[in-house]
Amino acid sequence: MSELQSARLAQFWHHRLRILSEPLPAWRIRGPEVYEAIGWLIEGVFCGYFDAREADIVWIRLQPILKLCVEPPKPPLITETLADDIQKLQRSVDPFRQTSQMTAGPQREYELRLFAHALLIADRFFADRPANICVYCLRSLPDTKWARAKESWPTVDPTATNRRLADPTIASIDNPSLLAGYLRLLEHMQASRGFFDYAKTRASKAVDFESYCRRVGGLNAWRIPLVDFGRSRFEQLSELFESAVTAEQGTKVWKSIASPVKHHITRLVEAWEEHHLTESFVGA
Amino acid sequence: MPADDPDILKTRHHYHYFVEFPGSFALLAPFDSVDNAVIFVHGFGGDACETWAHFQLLIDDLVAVSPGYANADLFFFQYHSLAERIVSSVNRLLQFFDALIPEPNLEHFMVAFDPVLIDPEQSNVRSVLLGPRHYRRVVLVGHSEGAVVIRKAILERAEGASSLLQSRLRLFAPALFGYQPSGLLGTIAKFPGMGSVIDAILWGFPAYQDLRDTKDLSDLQSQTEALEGHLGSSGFRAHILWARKDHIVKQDKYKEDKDDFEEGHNHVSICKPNKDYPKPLFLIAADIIPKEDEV
Repeated sequence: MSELQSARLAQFWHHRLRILSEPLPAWRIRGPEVYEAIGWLIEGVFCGYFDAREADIVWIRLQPILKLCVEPPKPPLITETLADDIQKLQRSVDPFRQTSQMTAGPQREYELRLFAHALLIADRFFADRPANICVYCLRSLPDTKWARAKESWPTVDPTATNRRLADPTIASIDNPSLLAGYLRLLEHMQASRGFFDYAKTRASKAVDFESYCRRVGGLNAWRIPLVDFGRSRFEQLSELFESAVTAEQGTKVWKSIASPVKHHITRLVEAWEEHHLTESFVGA
Repeated sequence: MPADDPDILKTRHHYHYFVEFPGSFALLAPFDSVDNAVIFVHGFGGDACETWAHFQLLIDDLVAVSPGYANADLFFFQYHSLAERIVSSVNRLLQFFDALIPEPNLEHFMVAFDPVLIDPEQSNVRSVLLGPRHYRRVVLVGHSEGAVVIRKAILERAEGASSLLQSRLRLFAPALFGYQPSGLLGTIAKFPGMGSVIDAILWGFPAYQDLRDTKDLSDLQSQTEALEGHLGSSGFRAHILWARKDHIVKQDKYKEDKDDFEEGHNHVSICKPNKDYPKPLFLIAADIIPKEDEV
């Protein structure tokens, strides 16, 4: 028996799943949050990071949390693969013991080496209040509210954004928090890019890395909406950033940084698409 | 009863999240005896994870250093570098030290196993440390403002026999002589990602060249140098690595510090190892006491 193996799953419960059993703030989108967390559980068992028998116990404890999701999220909020996997679990009595698990070998070793860090990065994204407020605004804010918010972007107060970056607990659904969240999103995208670039160098076969991106990268793909109106809103946020920088530093500074900032963001988007959106989101 | 852990995980560090220190986490060596504690302190606008990106993976993946790091628990400290004054951050860091050094307070390493037990009535709380720890060596690693926080923390413990006084200091681009984190853009300039973009552009603007000395930093230097002369403890001397392309901090050192410069790096990248730049890993590994049977 491995104490650490049990500790890993217990920790995952305490830091992710238990929180989702509680009343959530308005800016947390419950469906994809819960399904993403189950996705981490599935992948963790699949590669041997979590124990299958203990996962079955956790699965039973998860049922009340699943019931809180009024409607199962659909693509693009989750991948088709994850939706199928969760449906299979729901039909099974001992779901994790009965599902196939990776056999010992290079692919499993490859994924096991990476899993703890992949989960750490995802957990930090999950815990980032301004970033998740931004995700909510991109995904769920009604068009009228988005348009009204956008009208006041030219007067956004950069010091207010700075305060929210300094103390994320004061972030709420407002323009300074939206900008703070956008900047935090970009940092999470950077962290993801660094991690997957590293993962690519560790893969002995290209197909191993592609499989890893499709399954593990796909788990939190929903947090950066890059399809449909979500993408449009994401791209519009650079205007909000421009307003804040111009208000604080003047147009000369913005003109100096606009091009490299745009280039940086483009690269982050490309990397996110490559690492998280390899499974097509049909039905978006 | 769970199956045995896969072999690959038996030699890799275990990721433990601290509850009392939100955002901070540990990489615990999966052995019952460990001699070293390495504590990482990020800088202004930084992050316990991203400031040190790839450190956490490479310590177990890079064969040239993994035997050394196997004898070390690594602690990545997170604090509110944007919101709080340095004195507050020092206080937080000292609480973190006290929880870990020289012997970890087990309450910070306990995990309730209830969720994975069939009968939660059996509830038990267990430590994720595989054996008792008494760290013989403490290595403090700071980046930018984190170096200031570390040195002030050591001064706070100068009177007494704290093991911090005997610690080894590895500082990356320390802000010991000033920095200019002004405004929103100043904040973003220190972010691990966007910082690399902004920093490369903004250094030409006067506001970002105005890296001022402050009395506080001067006092820190004079007190540290005086105590180094008086006590001679290793905790008052640092090994510093600078980036050639650093436009954020003034590059200077205390009397007994040793420093070196690295080509091709900036303020943000200097402390991030990768396969082409493993130097940060080797520098810290050099401070780690090897296992006794490997001496």
